[in-house]
Amino acid sequence: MTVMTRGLRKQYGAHAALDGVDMEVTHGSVYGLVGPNGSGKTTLLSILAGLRRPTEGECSINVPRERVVLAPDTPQFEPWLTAREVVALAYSLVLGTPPPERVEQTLDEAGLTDALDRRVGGFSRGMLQRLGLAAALVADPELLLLDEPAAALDPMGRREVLDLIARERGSRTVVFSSHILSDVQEVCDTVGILRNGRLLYQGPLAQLLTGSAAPHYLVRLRDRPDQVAQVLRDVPWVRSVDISRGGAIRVAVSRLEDAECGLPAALARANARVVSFRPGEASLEEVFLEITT
Amino acid sequence: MSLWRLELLRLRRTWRGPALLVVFIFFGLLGPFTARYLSDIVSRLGSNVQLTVTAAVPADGVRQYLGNIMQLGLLTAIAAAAGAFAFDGESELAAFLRTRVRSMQVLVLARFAVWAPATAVVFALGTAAAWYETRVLIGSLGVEAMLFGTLYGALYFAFVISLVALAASIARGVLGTVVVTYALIAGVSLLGLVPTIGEWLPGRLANAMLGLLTDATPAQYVRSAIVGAVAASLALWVAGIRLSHREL
Repeated sequence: MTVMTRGLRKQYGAHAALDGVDMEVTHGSVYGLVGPNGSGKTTLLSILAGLRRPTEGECSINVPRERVVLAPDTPQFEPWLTAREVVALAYSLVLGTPPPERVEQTLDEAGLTDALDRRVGGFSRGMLQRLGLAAALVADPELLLLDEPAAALDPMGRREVLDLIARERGSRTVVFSSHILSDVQEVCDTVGILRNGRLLYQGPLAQLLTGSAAPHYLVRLRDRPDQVAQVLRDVPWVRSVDISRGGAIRVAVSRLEDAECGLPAALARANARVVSFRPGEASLEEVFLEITT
Repeated sequence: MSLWRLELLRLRRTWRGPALLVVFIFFGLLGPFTARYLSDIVSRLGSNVQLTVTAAVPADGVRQYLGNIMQLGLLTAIAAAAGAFAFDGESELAAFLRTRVRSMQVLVLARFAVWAPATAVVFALGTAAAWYETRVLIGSLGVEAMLFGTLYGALYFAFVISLVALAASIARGVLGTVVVTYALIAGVSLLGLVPTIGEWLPGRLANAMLGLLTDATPAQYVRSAIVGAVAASLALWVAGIRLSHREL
């Protein structure tokens, strides 16, 4: 376990920014921290980074402190430094003099090849966010804390950053906060849902998506969806059958296990020409709204 | 790119380095000039006020220089150094540094190691300008008094820079750091009202050059120099501890 918190609480006056957070982040995973604005994501990341102290509770980070890096959502650097100098500084503060090719390679990966020797003062917010990522990655941290890392980026930039984060899986542990749920769904394998300082859910993303939705199967047929739907409606463990505009059938069932055993036989009885069938998943957005409202 | 190189770049690439250089040399040249030509300047202003000015002596050039430099020069030095020490004023910038440096002491010492010598150097350059112009316009100054005066003045500026570091651990922004630094200087000056304590305070170093040019000896300022060095070390240590405990 790279990160483990127990009963973490952070109080600002009468307001509890964090209220009994038990967080567990396994080594090499990409952990998505989602929650509405003001839910405590930044406070939690700041505590993990050692920038704030919890009012109560324990926070255990099982990597050396200098191997933990936080990239804030709006990174700021000395405006009179060049991008190359910022990344070189980020490296040298942790590991000593950087090999020049390491700095250039990191800036290249962050999409800043053309801005190597430009002063940071003239950078857009998106470029600053890319530079923040480069500065975070250059010294090869073991725990990477990213606060809304793609919030200021255009669609192409966001795609690059998400790919970059996805590539880190296995080589380092990433905790990634975002309110863009599709981003989290895309790159994270574990998710924590935070609201009003409380961690409402924590676990594998796949389990959250399949476990939280009403159990159902999605069946795609070559033809005759109406007739097949009629047959399926008479099956005792089928709760409802809906036909989508594209001809796919959504079969709501009492239990997934019943469908796993009986659905192929039921489809065969209906002489269905099956293209595919799979258990249905809710989107993270649906689950998030279900949990947080 | 080390922390001290970062500070050298800050000196070179921002207004801070040029401002320090210009202000100290400007007042170094202006001081002896006004001391020599004060009566002429007043009469050319066309004022009806009769001003009786005694003939300038070489120490007057230094008096004018120190009078300016210990006000506007000091303000420039404090404001410039505050920009370096008040890194917590911008939390994202502070997060970058705080999550990477081994300790706050390292960060504070690296900044002090650049800013104290930088202010000492510009003070020495300003003094050299004042010395040269005084010699040309008014007369010669004692070499020993000027050299020891420069050394003690430089020590005073180093002491002030340590107070800036301490102030940055109390306030967060640049303005707050400047205000707290002046409050600390005022606090030290108030202690000087007690006669027996006053002899020991580092504030005496500010005008040591003038004292040495009149009747004092270098040995009379050694106590203040030692107290200044100890106080500066203490201020830096406390600043490091306070910054370590500060939450972002």
